[in-house]
Amino acid sequence: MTEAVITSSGAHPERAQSEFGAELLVVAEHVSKKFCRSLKRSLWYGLKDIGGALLPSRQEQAALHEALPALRRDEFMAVADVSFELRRGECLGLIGHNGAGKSTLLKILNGLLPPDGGRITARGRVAALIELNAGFNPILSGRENIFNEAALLGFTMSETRAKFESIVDFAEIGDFLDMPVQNYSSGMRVRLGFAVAAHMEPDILLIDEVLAVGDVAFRFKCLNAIGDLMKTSAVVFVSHAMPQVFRLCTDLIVMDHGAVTYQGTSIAEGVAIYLSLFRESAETVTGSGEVSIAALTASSTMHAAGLGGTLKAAHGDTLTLTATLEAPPSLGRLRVQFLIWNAEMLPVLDVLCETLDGFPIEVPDTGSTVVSARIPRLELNGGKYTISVIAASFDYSRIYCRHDNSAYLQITAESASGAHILSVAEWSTPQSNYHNR
Amino acid sequence: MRGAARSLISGFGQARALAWRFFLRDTRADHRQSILGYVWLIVPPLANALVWIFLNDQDVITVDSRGAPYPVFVLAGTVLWTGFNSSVMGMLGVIGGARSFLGKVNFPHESLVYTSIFKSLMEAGIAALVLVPALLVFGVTARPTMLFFPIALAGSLLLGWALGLLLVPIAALYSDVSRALQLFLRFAFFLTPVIFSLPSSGAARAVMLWNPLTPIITTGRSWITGSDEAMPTAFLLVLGGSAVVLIACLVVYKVILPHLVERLST
Repeated sequence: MTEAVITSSGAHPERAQSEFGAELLVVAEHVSKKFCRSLKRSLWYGLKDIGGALLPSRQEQAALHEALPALRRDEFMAVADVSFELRRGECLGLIGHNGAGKSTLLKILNGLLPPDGGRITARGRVAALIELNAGFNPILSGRENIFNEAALLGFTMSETRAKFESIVDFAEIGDFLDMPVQNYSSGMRVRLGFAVAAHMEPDILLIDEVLAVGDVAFRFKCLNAIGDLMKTSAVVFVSHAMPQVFRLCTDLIVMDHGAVTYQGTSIAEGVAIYLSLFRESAETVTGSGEVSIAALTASSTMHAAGLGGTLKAAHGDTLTLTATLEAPPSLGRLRVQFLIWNAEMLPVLDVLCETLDGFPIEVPDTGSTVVSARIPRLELNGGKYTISVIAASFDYSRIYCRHDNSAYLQITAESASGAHILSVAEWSTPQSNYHNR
Repeated sequence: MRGAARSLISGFGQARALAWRFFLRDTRADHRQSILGYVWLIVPPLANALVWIFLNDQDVITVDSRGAPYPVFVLAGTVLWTGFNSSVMGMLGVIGGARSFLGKVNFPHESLVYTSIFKSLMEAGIAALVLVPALLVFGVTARPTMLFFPIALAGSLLLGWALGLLLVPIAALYSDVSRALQLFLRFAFFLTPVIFSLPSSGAARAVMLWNPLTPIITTGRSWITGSDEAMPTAFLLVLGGSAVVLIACLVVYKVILPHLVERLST
């Protein structure tokens, strides 16, 4: 087993002096990293840092152990003061929005980037599932590329030979084995890359979003393989997929703009904080404009939110949506519906009447009317949703008003399911039927 | 620094094995997509030599080839020059070629340097084979020193690697370096006794005596042609100096690579 200390003095491994507990594999202490916005200046700083790495002055050596290094012009903190410990069998989830610093932290842990402050002590063989096809050459056959990829991931030739059959089986590429990889479908390429990576025997496993690839059947195979690897290693897992976070993680760090906003073992709490960080897009109103939404109230058993607000609700709560519409009485009958979108901007729930159309209303002479919809049991999975209000002519020939992002729903559901709807059904088996009788 | 040196030594086996894999991958891929394959390795020194052989034959230029047939004289020179040239440029490109995965996979980065070494060894070795038919055709008498020629070839490669690796840290960050070097090498060709022998006097001689490639080419060529232009002391000095520079640069490379990855990775 090897011990490596990664410090800001240059990421070459040195013998660690620290006393580890038997199972403690990763210790990150006040890790920070700066990035530069301007390419020209970044290259110049790079040259200076190289000079600093070769001829470290006393000042620079003192600066190594400062938690937050000084920023130069055009620099910003990509990772600011992150500390954690990780033992064998634990899985640390890193979640946050694009640009939050998760991938950068993962690269520092992997020894790819030198930290600008703090230090990381890692014990054992590190494997990273960050890029699966790095060693591939498109012209060469799958067989040859298995050896290329395996060598790049640190397998010896004899290890690769011993695992070759198993890799080929796992990848399910069959007759394509001796065909150039450029003829593979993207799914096959990913399968082959993952098959090689899954045969590593790491102590520390770093995973970055690779699970989101391939077809559904293979994705489950990947998850199972990772589950097996996790039993014997310490895992750091970067993901945007909350179901996978629930399923795999024992610890969670939520990052925002490089800083830690949540760190702990309550996955549900962390995920809720992550969801609340979603940048809310501005309300947009489109349509022909005859109708406008003057007010909106979204309410659950406990909370309520108005136009542009966020309603917090738990899975199974009752949701009531009430909209105040302004319309000229001459419009006559029109239809109103609420459409709920998930964070990926997919429509997941349409609130309709019995005929599966918008709810029909008659505009009164006052020109203003209130319409309310009550969903007794909201079965949406946990996540952030946005609500659109749509008012159309009775025959849908004309959309009078479409008010997007009129309000947000933040739903909590402690589940590892990736489905949009979590339905609590009335179940039965012959035994329980018998019992009930 | 000491840590980098230590990990270079302890990780040598693994890095070399990975480099061999990279080398096989790139070579196979290059030649699988080509009909003439390895012939392309012989063409550059041959084409270069043919130009000068033609000019000399037509009396456009007159060169004192120290008693040897001019085609053999110029071929020996261009084989050594091409070896040097491609080993410098190959070494300079090690980071650029791996840029797509440098920031994504952690592997012993010195294997990129070793790959470049394997590649230029193979290319120069194959290119040197043009000398065999040339020696037969022009009836050069076989002499035992001819067997030393690979040492001179290795010397020119070694000098190229050392120079290339010395410039890699800056060349990886700024593309100006390799552009400037390409231009410089075009001039350097005429400041090196490749197609002519070392002048006996004048400013050109003074410049060429300071050119580290001069003793390698003159000595290597003398081993083939049996001429009296060998500079054994300078040859050994350049060889030893290049080896020291190469090793020192390898340690520096190991230390600074994470900083390069940081600035270059995608």
